[in-house]
Amino acid sequence: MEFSDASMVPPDLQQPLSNFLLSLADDEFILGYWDSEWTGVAPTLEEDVACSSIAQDEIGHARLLYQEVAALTGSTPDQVAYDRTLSEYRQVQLVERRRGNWAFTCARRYLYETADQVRLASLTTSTYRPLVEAIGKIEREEVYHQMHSTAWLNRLANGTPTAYQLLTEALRQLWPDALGIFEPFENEDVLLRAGILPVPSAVLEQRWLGDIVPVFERLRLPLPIKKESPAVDSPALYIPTIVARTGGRRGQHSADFTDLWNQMTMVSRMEPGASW
Amino acid sequence: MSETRTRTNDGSLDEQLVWEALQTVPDPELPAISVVDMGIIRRIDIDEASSSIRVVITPTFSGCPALSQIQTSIAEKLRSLAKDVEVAVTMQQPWTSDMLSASARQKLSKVGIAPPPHVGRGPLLPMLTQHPLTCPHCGSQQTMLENPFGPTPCRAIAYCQHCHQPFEQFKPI
Repeated sequence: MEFSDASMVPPDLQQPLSNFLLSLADDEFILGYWDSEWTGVAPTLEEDVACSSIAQDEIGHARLLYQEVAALTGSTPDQVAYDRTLSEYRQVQLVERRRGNWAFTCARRYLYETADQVRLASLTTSTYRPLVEAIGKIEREEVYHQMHSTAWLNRLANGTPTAYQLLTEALRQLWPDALGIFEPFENEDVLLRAGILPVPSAVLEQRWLGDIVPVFERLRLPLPIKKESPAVDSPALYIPTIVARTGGRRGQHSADFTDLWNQMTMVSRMEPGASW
Repeated sequence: MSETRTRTNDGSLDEQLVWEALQTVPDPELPAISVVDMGIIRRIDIDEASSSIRVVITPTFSGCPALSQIQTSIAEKLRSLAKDVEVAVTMQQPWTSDMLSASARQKLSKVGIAPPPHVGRGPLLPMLTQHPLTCPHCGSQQTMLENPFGPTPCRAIAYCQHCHQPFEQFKPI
């Protein structure tokens, strides 16, 4: 069963699908929003340009996905982006933290981009055709983000003692949120049965950790994960040794997001339906 | 502006005329190149009875800020051919840099931007890390990608270690 467009989606699937698309879109939108704050104040001119371009890409990706939500719910991408209450946003808490210092921004980008690659790759076999088409576009652009964030993780980890120290401090703050990236989607069982979500979040999390654990080990970076081998022939299982911070997918957000929401929805609240 | 035909010799409106008109619509960020040579026109539907044209385009990059401007300039240009013009956007057959025409590649070189190497449909990352870029000034492949992000979403900044010149690289994607 494949859904070729929004009109093919049965009524009982509309809400779970719409919230699922919002989850993917809000992650990109909110992270893009924070990263755009580096415009004009990034450590070097090149990074200024890079952060602005990445932010622009992410907000573009969010817009693509908001269009699909709008098609399902009979609204417009702008309404979907700005006319929601705080608890109607679906991003994970990792992306809604304030941008912090440069090391925090780079470390968060690395954690997010590596997880996003795993997620996007798994969604190329989704039964929701408009999503597969959007991802065909998004995935290739994200390769450049991944290159950029990998370069910075290595640069800071192998840089001066101060750079290494700032990076490890940032990672210690980030890990509880990072382990919430693969918090299950709302109605995940429904999405799995419909094939809209081809792989469970828990499996994706293991794939992601399989990608990044060797990198963190090589760079001697904080890694609150232990490896267990349940049986001789089965693959290693990565088990967090700290508690993940979750709730974003259910609309529970941090104070940082309240501030951001107040700022980014200000114009649409003052002048509903404004265009520019 | 160059003169474009608005009707064929027998007075009808055909697809060829629309393509000719689109050849004169420049990409706003790279005015040397037309939207046709950029490879972003997906299809053209003409309904002569109701004097309407529908053009379907696809963005080079999904966050491309020039997209709405491109839609407007295409619509303005085609209004000399038909009463109703619609410019729709699709993500089917997503754009890749392989879709640049041969003429677009030549024009890029002329304005000092290195045209993108051929990427194919396979995974992008190995291609980007294993294939050297060619310097548009001296032709050397002793080059490095300095910053994958440049003045527009489709351009990157590279450096030639042979002639010691920085250059703009149209991003392979």
